[in-house]
Amino acid sequence: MKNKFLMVAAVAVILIGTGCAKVPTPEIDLATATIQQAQDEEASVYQPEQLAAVKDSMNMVMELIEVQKSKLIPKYSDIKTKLANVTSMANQVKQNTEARKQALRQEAQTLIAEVTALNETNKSLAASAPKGKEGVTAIELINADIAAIGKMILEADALLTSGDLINALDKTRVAKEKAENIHLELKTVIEKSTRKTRK
Amino acid sequence: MNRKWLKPGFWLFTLLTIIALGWLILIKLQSKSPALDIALAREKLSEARAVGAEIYATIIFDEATALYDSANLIWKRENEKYFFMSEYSRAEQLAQLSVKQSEASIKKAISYSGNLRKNLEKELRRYNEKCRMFEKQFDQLPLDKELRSSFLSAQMSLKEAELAFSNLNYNLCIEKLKITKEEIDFTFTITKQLLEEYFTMYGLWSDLNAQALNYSTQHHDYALVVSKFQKKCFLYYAGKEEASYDIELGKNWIGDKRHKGDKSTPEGLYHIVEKKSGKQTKYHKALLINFPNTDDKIRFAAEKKNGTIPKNLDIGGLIELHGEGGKGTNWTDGCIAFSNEDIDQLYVKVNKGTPIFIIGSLQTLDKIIVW
Repeated sequence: MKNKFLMVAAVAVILIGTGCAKVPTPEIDLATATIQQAQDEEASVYQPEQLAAVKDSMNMVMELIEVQKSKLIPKYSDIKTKLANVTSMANQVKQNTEARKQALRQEAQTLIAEVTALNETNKSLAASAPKGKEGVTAIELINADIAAIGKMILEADALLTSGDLINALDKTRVAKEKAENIHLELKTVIEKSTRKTRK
Repeated sequence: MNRKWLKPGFWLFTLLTIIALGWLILIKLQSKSPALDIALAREKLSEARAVGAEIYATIIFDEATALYDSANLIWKRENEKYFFMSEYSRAEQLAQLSVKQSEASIKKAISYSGNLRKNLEKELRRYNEKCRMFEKQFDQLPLDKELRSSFLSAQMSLKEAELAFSNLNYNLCIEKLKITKEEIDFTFTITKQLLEEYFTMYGLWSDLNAQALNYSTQHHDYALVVSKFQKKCFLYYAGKEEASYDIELGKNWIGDKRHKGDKSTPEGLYHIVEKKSGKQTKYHKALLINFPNTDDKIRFAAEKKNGTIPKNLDIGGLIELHGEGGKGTNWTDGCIAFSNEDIDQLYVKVNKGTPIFIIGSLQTLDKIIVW
């Protein structure tokens, strides 16, 4: 009978022990901090869907914690695994954001360098374009376009420096298209004039 | 012996049974968990975010989010109480309200983004058309650098708006369209002012054209009318238009010639004073006109006197109708250029003394430009 009494006491101790299972605060804090890091990295701009998915998962886990809290015997082992997954997902989002930003920055830098070079080439071509009376007006207009492209490149560069990568890239793309059109126009004019001279 | 152990065992059993029953009763009486409602609220919020409610139905979406957060907060707070004292009905209510607001935000976002997309498409088309129209109508206009730069800026921001639109970044698209609108409106307004001011002379131009027709009727001879806007030279004979020729002018062809080197073509009544061919001209054939005439000299002297023309400037001269045209641009220093074939034809028809009426336009402004 003494044994029975001890058994009941042991079960009670186990029950009380399990009943006092603690909320996995360190894991929650880690997941929250990692999500915050992803946000600080501007994931909302460069990986918005991924960030939303992670936040959603975190909310779901927090709900599961509340479900467990309201139970007589809460169990957090599954939740700890889920929180670890959220942390890993958030880390991935952070890395993906960094990678995308890096790629965009690289693309914008390359494109800015390309457009700058093309604009310089256009300047030289415009300077060497036929100087006939009829060409003067056209060259003046082209020079105005070249100046506008130069201004746009500066704006794109400023955006890049301020970290507005998407806008910087878009601006550079527009400048590139315009610079390519001018290049083609100048080449055609020069070619025409060369052919005329040969005749 | 048995009685000794039976007593505490019995009481322990009875106590545990009472506790268990009490526990069961409390569990039964416990408020319903809001877990399902809160989970549904979260799913709906996620759905709303996916359709862009965060951007297109911001207020309702924010309300839904706040309701979801409040529901969670209350749930958490109630969970901190003894389980039998927890009251979840408020959390449940808030979660349900959050679902409703999310659904409303989804509806609004879908409708708004659809409309926004349509409107933006329409606006992009409109401004593209406006830019094309501007290029087509005003490409040959001697606009100043500021206007050209405004137009270029409009074109470029329009391209950026198109790019933003294709990236589904509607807010940026709106921002860029705003710049396009400002720049293009500025360009149109100033150009309109410039042209309207120029076309205040339309009455005089009509008179000059009527004079040309009268002259050709009365003298049974040729008279020429150069219409700058139409880039045409009309040859009248005996009150009828016998031929018309395409022409090219100087860079600053709008307005009267004021001084040497301004690349403008004079306006008014002139006469052919000399016919040049062969080595006399480098432009195939040429018809020299009497610029500056007496009126030009008086106006020039007056402008110099009141300081609107610098004192060191000359009035200019040697304005001709000549060949070597057909270049597709306004390239002369103020002369009127024809293709060699056309000047050949004209050369044999006109003589010294043939009047030439140089005017801005034969048509009214609203017939030329669609604003």
